[in-house]
Amino acid sequence: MKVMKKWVGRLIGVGAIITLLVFVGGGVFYFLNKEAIREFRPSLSAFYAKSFCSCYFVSQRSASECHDYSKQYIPIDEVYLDEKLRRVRVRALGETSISQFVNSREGCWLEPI
Amino acid sequence: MTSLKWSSGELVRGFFWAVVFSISHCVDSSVEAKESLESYLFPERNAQRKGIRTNVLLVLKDNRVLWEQYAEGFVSDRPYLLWSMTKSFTNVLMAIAAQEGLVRLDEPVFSEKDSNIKIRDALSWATCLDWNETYEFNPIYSSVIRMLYSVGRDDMFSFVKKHRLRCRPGSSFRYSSGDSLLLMGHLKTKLSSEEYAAYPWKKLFEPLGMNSAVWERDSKGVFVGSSFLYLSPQDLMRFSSWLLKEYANGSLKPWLGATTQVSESFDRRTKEAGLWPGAHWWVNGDSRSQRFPRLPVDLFAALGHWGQSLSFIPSKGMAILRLADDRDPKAFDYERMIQMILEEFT
Repeated sequence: MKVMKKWVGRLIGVGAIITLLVFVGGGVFYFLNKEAIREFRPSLSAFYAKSFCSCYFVSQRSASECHDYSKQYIPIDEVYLDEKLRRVRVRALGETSISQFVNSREGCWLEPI
Repeated sequence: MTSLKWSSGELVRGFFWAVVFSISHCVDSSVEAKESLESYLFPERNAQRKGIRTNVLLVLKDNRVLWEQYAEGFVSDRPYLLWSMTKSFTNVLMAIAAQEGLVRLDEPVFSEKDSNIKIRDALSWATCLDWNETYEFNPIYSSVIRMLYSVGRDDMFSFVKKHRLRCRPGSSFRYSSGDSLLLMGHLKTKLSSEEYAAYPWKKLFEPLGMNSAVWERDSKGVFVGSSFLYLSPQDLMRFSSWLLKEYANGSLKPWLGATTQVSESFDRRTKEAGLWPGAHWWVNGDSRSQRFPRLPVDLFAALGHWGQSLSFIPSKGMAILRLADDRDPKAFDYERMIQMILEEFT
């Protein structure tokens, strides 16, 4: 029993060190890339909103096809399709983006940041 | 008559092309070869989005559509996103603008930098702006994602202009969607807002009967000349017929001939997955060397994200359209597709 306890203790210790390293490493990565990450954050919701809006209102594909088309490997939190106003609102990575169908020549655009 | 039976199946849509298609298939085709092409380009889809995902395939030869196939949910007359194939339409609009005397190849697209960037540099992706054209694999530092979806999206022309120079303009190739925005942004300064908004329709789409065109713009009204043009497969065929004619003998012949040469600022030893860069076109090469020695030397193409292409082989009077959604970048082999089609139809 004593030997096992020792191993469990060691395992927890190693786990704690790895967790700490991941957090510290992540923190350092974030700190070094803060500006780039801040500028990147709206892109995910904007990509989804705009791709969905154009897929649905310009190319007239089905909602499920357009979801499949718009999704990336980072998941989004929420998507709201307003059929009447022809707009799509998406929340992801803490940012919200809205894409609006303008007309049959101009397609969709993203509401300004 | 087996081929007729096959062509009237569920895969072929669009009454106009279907008629042409059926007639041409009665004459000369082996169903087997087409089946292998079909099984290569249209395999069964999976939820993981792995493998080859062709949405539309059209083969045009001597103004006749020889083959037309659609994945489920796709039709001939709805506009689909061309992604970077849009850039070659920007090329054609610049050709028309140059022909009308609106712009000259050697005029600067903007003169705020010490060293001027000319239209010719932007066309051949050699502006030397410090641009980062990456997508899914390095999204955080991607200039193009910032331009289309984040801090640059409201005023893309200004966003591109803010990038610093990394070398002397014209001296070094680096693929950049920003360069296309320089062209479309510059064109806007030559026209009134109304004239600019109508320009692609008045000069290109309407004369050719391309009524499906949708071209998205930024908040300042600049056409996203790099990425956001939508056209139907049918209209892409109209465009292709016209382009082949212009290339052979039209008033745009000198421009198209010049912009489909390998860019002088491109180092041919560079490992490129696809074709080599021309000037807002992608090309196979010339008598000196070729990217794909087994494909015709005069092959040139508009290429877009996720495996899309509109390829032209003027010596064979051919155009090949592939709209696609390949999320798995290694699955599709462009050279193989063109080879299979050439074996089948020439």
